[in-house]
Amino acid sequence: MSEAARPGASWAEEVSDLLAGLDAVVWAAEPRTLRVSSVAGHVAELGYTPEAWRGENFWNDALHPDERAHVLSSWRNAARDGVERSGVHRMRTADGGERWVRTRVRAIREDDGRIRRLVGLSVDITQQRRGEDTLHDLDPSELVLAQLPAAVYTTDRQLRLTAGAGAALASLGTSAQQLPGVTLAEFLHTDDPENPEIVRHRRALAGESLSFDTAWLGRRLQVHLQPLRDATGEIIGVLGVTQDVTDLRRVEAAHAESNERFRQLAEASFEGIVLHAQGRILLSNRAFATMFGYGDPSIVVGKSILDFTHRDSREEVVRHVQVRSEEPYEIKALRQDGSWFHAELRSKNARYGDRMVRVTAIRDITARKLADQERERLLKEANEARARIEQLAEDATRRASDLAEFDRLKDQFIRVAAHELKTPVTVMKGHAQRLLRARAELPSPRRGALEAIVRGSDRIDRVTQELVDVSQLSLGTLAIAAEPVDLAALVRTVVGHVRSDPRHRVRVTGDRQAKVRGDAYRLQYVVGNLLDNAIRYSPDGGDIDVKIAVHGGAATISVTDHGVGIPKDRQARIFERFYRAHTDTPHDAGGIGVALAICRDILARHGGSIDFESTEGEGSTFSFRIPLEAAHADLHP
Amino acid sequence: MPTSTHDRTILVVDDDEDICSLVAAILEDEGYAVRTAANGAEALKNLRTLGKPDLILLDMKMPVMDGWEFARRLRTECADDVPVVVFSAAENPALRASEVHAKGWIGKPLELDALLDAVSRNVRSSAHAVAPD
Repeated sequence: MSEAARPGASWAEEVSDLLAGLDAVVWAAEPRTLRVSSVAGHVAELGYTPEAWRGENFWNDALHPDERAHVLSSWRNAARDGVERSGVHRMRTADGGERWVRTRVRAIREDDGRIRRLVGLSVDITQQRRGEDTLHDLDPSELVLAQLPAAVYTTDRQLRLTAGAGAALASLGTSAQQLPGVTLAEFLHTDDPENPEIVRHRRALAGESLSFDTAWLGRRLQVHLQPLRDATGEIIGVLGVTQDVTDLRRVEAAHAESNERFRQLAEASFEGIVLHAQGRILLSNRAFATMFGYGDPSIVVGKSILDFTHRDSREEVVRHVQVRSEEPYEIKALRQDGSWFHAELRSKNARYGDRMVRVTAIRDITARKLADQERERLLKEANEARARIEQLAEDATRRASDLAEFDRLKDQFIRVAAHELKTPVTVMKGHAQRLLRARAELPSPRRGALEAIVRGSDRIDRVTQELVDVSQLSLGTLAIAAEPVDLAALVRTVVGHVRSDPRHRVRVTGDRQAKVRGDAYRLQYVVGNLLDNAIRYSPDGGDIDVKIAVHGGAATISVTDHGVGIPKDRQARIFERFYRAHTDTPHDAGGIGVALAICRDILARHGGSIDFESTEGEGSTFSFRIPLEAAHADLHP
Repeated sequence: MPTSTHDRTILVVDDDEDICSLVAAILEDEGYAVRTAANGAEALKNLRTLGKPDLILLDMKMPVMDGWEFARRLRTECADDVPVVVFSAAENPALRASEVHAKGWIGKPLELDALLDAVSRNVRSSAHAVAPD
């Protein structure tokens, strides 16, 4: 290199000398063939003479084979579209070595607008480059960067690419070596200043960080841009990170589609449905959100399923999730407001994207639970009731059996007692009557004593007989004869035996014959009892009318007194056993209150009935009727 | 009636001594001739040895031989023309009477008038008494 301008040298020589001092060569080339027509300057390290530069196959020999096609293509594009290109590439030296060169080319247009020449400026940047390489060699992350399944690159403020790394550069159609020096526009093969990528890089230069997807050479790239700052924080370029997401996006799209299908299916269900991974909810349908008191299904996403589980059921839910059970089970489900409901859970394990999840269907079974509980309660009550009824029936049967046995013993006792009383009473009464009869002229006090013995005997006999009768009637063991009886004659006989009492006059009127079939002894008792009552309940005397009427196939006997009558409120019960209408009244005439009950039963056994009419203070009429005997066979002697 | 009672014989069959003596006293007061027996067997023996009475007053429940058996034996072995009046402490003497084809019945306790009535109505008349068996 000359240290000073040579006197008399041409301007061209002078420029050439200046360029040589910069290790630069300016050349002009034919735009189509790229053959160098003129050359100025010199790069000593390359070792090519100007003649060599102008050689026919110069670029073929001088450009590094790895980059030759790319570089020549770039230059031809510049010659065609008139846009300046710049790039870093390697050149072989004349002696077989290798230099790093940055070449900038620009098309020169003639006045007619046609491009006649391409002018290039090639600068040897090997020294500078070597420094960078050294730095790179020292960087321990170089290998990582080179193999990163992504691409990282930087630009300067002019959006000239300054460095690149990462395995994904290949899918961008470039390499770490080619990138430096190429402008973004060159890389993108565009001269549109509003190209979207360029606009985005400019936004990064303005301080913005942005991520976006973009299409490149048929691939889908995800790009992240952010300002590249120096140590002082000043923006010196753009840092770009890009990743081929073609496959990922395809998977994601498929995933999104399956999500949508799931969502549509889930929304069509009345059951609450959630999809969860290890208890963390990924998706839910509206029914689930509504069921738990949340307005929007998106609110529940990300929550734990335990947030929807009453504490009583959490252990069970955890256990089912842990063992991935698909058995249905019931829990207490917890609403947002803290209330809970009975729920049935059914889960299925499924693959969702690349992970295992569980799809759980939740059904509110409160109504069913209540129905179950109600049914159980009713069943229990029914069983208890049945047990109670069985117990009662058993008790009743035992009691009935006990009572029947008791009745039998009572009847036996009454009969034995009555029978044992009869003989002494008979003897007592008989002798009294005999004495009365034999000694008609007895002094009055003695006669009164004998009469009292007779009355007492009668009373004892009457009570014992009634006890026997009522006992037998209640047991159904009372024997009733079925012989022809003239009821009219029987009534007259009984009336004839009524003790003469000056206060009462007993009159018998009506039919003189009334043939029935029955038990004369029992019928005498009935008639006698009605007469006895008539007399006893007429303490102030008065007529007693006995009427015999044969009419309508039945004989009716009525006994009418003009005595105290029966109070209306007591009339309904007078045929009950042991009921005494006049108990604790001034009209109480004694007796054990069974006579009317016995009469009614005796008449019922004859196919007849008894009735009465009574007015308190005016008297009573008791009447009974018995069907007439069809055949009038008179068996009496 | 009293005039016709003196030649009438009544057989009283009752196991109760007090009853027997009471009835006998009543009937004797009225002029009847009275024989007594404590049971059916004694009564049959009485009939065989002393002849037929004009009426038998028969108690039903007795030891050795009861009224039913006596009545049956009376009809088959001795005579069926002696009237029988059942004299019973049973609840229904009429039924008893019909069981043994008696002419009548008297309940216990004894009603003196009823006794005399039943006896006088059923006792054999003198015509019967002389009629051969």
